[in-house]
Amino acid sequence: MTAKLTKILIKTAVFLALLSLCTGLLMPKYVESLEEGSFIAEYYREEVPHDVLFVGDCEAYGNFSPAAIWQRSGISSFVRGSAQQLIPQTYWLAAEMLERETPKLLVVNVLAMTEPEQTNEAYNRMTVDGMRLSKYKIGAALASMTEEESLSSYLVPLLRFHSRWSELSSEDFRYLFGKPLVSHSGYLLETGVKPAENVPKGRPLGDYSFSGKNLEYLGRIADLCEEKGVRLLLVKAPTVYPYWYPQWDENVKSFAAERGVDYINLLELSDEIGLDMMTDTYDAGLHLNVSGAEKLSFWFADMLKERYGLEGHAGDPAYEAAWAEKLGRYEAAKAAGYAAQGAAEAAPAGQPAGGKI
Amino acid sequence: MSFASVEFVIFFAALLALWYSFGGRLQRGLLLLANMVFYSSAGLRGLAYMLLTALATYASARAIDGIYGRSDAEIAARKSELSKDERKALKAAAKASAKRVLVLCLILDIGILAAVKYSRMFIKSVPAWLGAPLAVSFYTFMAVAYLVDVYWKRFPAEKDIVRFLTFISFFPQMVQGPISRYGDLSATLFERHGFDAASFRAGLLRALWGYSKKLIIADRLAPLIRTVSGSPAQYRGAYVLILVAAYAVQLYADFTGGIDITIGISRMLGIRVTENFRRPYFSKSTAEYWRRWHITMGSWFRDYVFYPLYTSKAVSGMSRKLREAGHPAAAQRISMWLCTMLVWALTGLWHGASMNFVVWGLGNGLIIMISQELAPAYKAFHARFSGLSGNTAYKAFCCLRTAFLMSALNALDVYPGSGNALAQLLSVFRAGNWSEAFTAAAGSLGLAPHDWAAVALGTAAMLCFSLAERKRGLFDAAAEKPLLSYAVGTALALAVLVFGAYGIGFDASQFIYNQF
Repeated sequence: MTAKLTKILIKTAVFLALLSLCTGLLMPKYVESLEEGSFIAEYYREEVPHDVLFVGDCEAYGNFSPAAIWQRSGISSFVRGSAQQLIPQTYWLAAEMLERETPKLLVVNVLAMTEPEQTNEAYNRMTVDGMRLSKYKIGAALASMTEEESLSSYLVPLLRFHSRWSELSSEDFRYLFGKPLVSHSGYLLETGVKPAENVPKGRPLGDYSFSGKNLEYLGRIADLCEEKGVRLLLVKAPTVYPYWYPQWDENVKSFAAERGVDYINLLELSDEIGLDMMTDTYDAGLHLNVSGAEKLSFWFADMLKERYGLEGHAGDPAYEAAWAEKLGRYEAAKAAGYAAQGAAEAAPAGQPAGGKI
Repeated sequence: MSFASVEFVIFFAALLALWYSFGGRLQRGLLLLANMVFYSSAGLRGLAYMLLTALATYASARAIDGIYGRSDAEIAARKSELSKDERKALKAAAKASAKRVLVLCLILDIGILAAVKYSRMFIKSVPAWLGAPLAVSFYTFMAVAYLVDVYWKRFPAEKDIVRFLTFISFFPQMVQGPISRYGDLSATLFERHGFDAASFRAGLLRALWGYSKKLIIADRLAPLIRTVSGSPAQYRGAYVLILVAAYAVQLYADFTGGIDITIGISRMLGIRVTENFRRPYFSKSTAEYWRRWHITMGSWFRDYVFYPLYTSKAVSGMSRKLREAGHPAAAQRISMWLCTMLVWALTGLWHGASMNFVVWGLGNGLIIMISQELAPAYKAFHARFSGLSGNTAYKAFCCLRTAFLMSALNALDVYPGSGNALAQLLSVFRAGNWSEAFTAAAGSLGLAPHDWAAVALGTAAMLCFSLAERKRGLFDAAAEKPLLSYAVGTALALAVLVFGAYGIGFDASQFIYNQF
């Protein structure tokens, strides 16, 4: 009986190993393109605990630089952001993180309050696929799936990505057994500059209210923070596009007042932060470039100390060691970005940097 | 709940786990419960129709059995006092009573089928409650065959209603058949099944092979079929030939794949289901093709429509009159032609509620009749060229000719309107667009080169499998060797998961015969 059981177990293990090999090969790698797809999973590679956790959509991972915050204040932070991250997903990601650690502050970017439903399955995949199998992942999937999606494809991703067999590239084989870090503690580093000129003002909307589902999940985030003893800070990143309507701002203020949580509209503090949207954005006002992100992060680090009384970990060997490595990568990436940008600017018009004639 | 869905895999895994637990004591009720769960997943309205047919058939069969029983008992009790003629009269009276019950139930069963399936041929806006329930054609035919067999005293009526409902609603057959006979299926359906590893492995391999055919080949070809048949004005001539060939492969992979799954999963439960195909594309004539393709449907029409009709008083009377009028050849031919064409018209109608299918059925009947009429000429031809019938190349030619004829007729299945389908087929003979069509097929007809590669490899695998299967049952042979069956099963499962055309980005179709 034991020998029979052993045989069954071995056969099952071999099948599962082959299945995970196929899954590993066919899952998108998000290393050389669409790097944002890697960010959610990179949280699991963090070693030291964090004082501050950021969650939210691209305005979170594109604007707040934990490396700059550390440099300025010795405060340890991480951004768990993803493209078009919906508020229900933000809740489940936050719940998962607060199960693993207890930061002093949870920062939630509120732009996604204006998104009632997911518009593109790819955004869901980039958020939920990065989560480990748990009740949080299932919750995030169930709360955000589009009509064409199914939970089974999140539990067995091969069911979704199997058709990539015809488009496998060298990237898929190169990162089959391990991927390098792509983000900088969840921050997407961009060095380019594209001024925010002629940003259109928003056209009047018929309805400025947030969806009931988003309000419910934002409420659940507030409940979660209360339960875990973590302070909640709602922020609107200081990027100028898409247009942030005053009515939306009022909605968030009302919620914050009702629940007794903090809310900062960073758009109103752009001058104090020192942002110049002619030089501090790489995509005409949607996201800050590294120059803008560092200005914002320095200001934010100071605010964390002053307003929330957070103290840095400078001198703590574990933190120092972890952050020294991160800073090394960060500075190298920044230098490489600027170098590439310089080469691009030096290249003749219409000729890509490094291109051959 | 489609066979090709995660829900079905979970459903079947749960059933298997319970099936072999508790020494199989749960099996009796469990299978009926599984049937009801599976069937009701397609809607409770359909379940109501199915139960109505099943209960009416069950009660009628019991009533027929009762009539025969009482008559036999009376004859036995009064054996000494009854003359031979009186016994005959009693039997005839019982038969007449049984026939009344039979006819009433047939009117109900076939009436339901006609109402839910064919009312749309005559009424423009059919109310939703009159929509066709899942597998209505299959379970109605099973019920009719059962009832007629009881009337013909082939077996006594089933007394146990749980067993009868389990037979009628047996879920593996509720997608696309086969049309099992009670006498065949009941042999293993109701017994308690212990776990037989080799049989289980053979069933699993067969089911995986079925999934491979359905998901890797049939569903991958679906975009090409849709593209070409969807724009008949644009895609004529050589495109039609590509469509005919692609649909021949798709229909075979889809239907035989579905039957492989049905037979495979039944076998995993220890239940043997009748075979429905025997390498039909290796048939050398249309008549042979129909003895090998959808065997249970063909034999159903033969046993329950053709023979009763051919031997009926009306047809026999007509033949007699012709013979008496001095036309013995016509007497035999006309009754045969009439019955053949009627059966094929009904066969077409069974496939779908449209004139396309009637024309398709009549086309099949016509080809078979012409073949029969030309039989003496064939005989003379083969007597003149005696070595030809054993020649491999000639045999291959006959197979290809039959496959082409059948596939060309199936164009009626994909084009809306029989006139349209025939016009498209005729356009092949005037085609001047061979180069354009084959260039387009390589990339712009809904299939990319990698799709073609998957279809080509899959089709080659099906062909090799069919050739190898002629000598021995490959699934049983593989199942005898646990390690080999594990390796084959793993390879098939991974091939289906990776190369299958399913999920987002694929508009996976239902099984084609599911629509019939």
